[in-house]
Amino acid sequence: MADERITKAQRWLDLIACLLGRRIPMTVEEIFRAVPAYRIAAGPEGDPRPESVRRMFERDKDELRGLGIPIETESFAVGFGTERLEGYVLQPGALYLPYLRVVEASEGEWPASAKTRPAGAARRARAETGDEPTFARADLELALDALREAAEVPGWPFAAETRSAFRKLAFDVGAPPGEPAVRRAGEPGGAELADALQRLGDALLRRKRVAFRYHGLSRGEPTKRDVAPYGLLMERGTWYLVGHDALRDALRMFHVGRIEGARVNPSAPSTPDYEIPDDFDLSDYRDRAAWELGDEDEEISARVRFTHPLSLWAERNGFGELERSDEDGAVRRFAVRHVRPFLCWVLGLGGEARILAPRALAEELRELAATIGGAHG
Amino acid sequence: MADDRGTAADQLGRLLWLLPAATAKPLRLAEAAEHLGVSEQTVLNDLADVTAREFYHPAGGAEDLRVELDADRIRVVSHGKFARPVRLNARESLATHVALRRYAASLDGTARERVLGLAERIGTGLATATPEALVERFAVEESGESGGIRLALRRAATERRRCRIVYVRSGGEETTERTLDPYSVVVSHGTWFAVGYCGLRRDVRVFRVDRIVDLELTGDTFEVPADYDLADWVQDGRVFRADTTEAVVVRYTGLAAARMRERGPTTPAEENGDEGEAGEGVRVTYEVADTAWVVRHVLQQGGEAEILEPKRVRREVARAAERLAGVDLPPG
Repeated sequence: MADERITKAQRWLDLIACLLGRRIPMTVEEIFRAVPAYRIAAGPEGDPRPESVRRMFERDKDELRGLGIPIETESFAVGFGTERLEGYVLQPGALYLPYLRVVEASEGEWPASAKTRPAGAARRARAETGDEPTFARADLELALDALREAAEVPGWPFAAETRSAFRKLAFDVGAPPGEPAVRRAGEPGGAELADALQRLGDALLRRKRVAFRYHGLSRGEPTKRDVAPYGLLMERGTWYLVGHDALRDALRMFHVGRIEGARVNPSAPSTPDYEIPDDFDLSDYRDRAAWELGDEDEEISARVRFTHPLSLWAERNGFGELERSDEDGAVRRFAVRHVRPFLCWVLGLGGEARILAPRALAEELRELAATIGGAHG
Repeated sequence: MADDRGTAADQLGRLLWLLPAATAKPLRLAEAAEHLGVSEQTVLNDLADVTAREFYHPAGGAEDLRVELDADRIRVVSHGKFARPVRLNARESLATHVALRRYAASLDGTARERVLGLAERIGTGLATATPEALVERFAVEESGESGGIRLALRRAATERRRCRIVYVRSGGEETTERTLDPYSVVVSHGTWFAVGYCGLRRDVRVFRVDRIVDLELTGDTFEVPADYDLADWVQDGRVFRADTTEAVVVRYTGLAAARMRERGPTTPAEENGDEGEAGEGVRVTYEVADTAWVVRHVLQQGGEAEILEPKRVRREVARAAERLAGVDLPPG
């Protein structure tokens, strides 16, 4: 057993430090001698090396690679080329973040005012990190701003990674001053949603199937689903999973808040369960209004007249396609697959939008309005 | 204090930032904890793991790294190792791409290309790997708007720049033009608002960002008054403020009731299962500043919402619905 006083993080730090200290590949035996946790676990020199230590090292190496520590395997010749050995190497240039050459001016100009770095340890490290990528200060600040805001999106499964990316990019330039520009109020959230999103994000990265119970709004009882996740989408405060649903044998969009008991397929964790088809495009599912969700063969084309100035609002927010406009307003065309949500949306615009065609749809709107009027009369 | 140490991977991630940060310059403990989003005790525990290495390393084995703790300052002396943070890993690179795509989504043309190009440059120059195929599998709040009004507004709020806006009021017959000093940009349930000083009303007002149809930054700047507090404008997750409000009780049925239940604790008022003649439902009491909002809200539920009280607002819904029911039909 490994000495219990040495934690896993310490063992990893020792392994990284020992590989960084060598320019040529280290064999497993050399690593076992240099890293205390392995040395202690392996017992006195000369003892047969326990298989458990070997397995511990293999796991550590794989986990560290997964965390972005680029440990390379190299084979090299010894004994004047009579024997080949396998060893491990960690190049500082591949590990460390390169120094950023930060220029104040806009892109394309590289003035002499590029930031210079301090001496000492930093300079030594600099010599090892190779090229200095050049970034305009304004670009880096924009990236930091975007990262800071994205980290605050409720439920975003890579919020921790977003924050650590922020820390790394801010290392040389410092965090931009001031508070995040956008504040959040009354957002969906909760531990359950965050937990489901963590699982779904992880499943999507590894392309593993997910089983869950789904509480569709219009169904009384939850249904069991088995889904191959293709994408995660957050819009208008709601998270959606898009994926191939085995039950329906079709692509479906799921409201993540209605997913319960998500379980990622635990078998063969490093082997993907499915491929995402090349023609799948998550942006097809973006910005979809409720009336656009539905079967293609049920699609009808509706024409709606918006009075001025609501017509400007429809244009700015991209509702429908503009057919024509004049000083009194505009006519826009909508592809409607699901009639009821469309009628509700038009009703909510309170008379500033009128259905011109098809006539049957305008009739339906009138009937719905009459029902509401009757209920409140 | 809750244990926020996390996994060994979390701890290593923290140390690989903390060690170079405290090598570059002494770092205050509180500052380190804030950057890392953990307690000061966790930072101390992390550092204790580094200093403890000298006890199990053979003499000189752990001398490549020396940690000094002086009162509340952390200083690390490194002989070259861990003096720089490590490159972005695949997940961090993915997160950066998604964050920048989110930002680029409301830009057009070259501005958009520039931000997407920046994501590429960060991915290729500063990361160990980018899971290219996966970057497009995540879309986070990518706005469908064009013209970058939302971004310009954010910028105005950050830089304290006065803007001139053209606004479409709900039910308004004309657009209005006014200056706006945006004190805060707030998002609530996917709807974006600006809270700020309105030059037309000469007071602080709330604006829905989707109803700002044009915006330009002026050369003027503004100060946020000391007594301004965004918390005064956010009540139960809704962004509004009024000196006088009216309680309006709405009963939801069918899918509308299911949606209201789903909003759970963020529902603006108490919910009661209604077991009257109308069958099951959800009853919500809103404190309403502007009844036009609640009238439209009820119409939008398409018959699955009914105003129970007050009678005056009930009649307003009836009148609005009757007007819509009386609209001339288009020719067949």
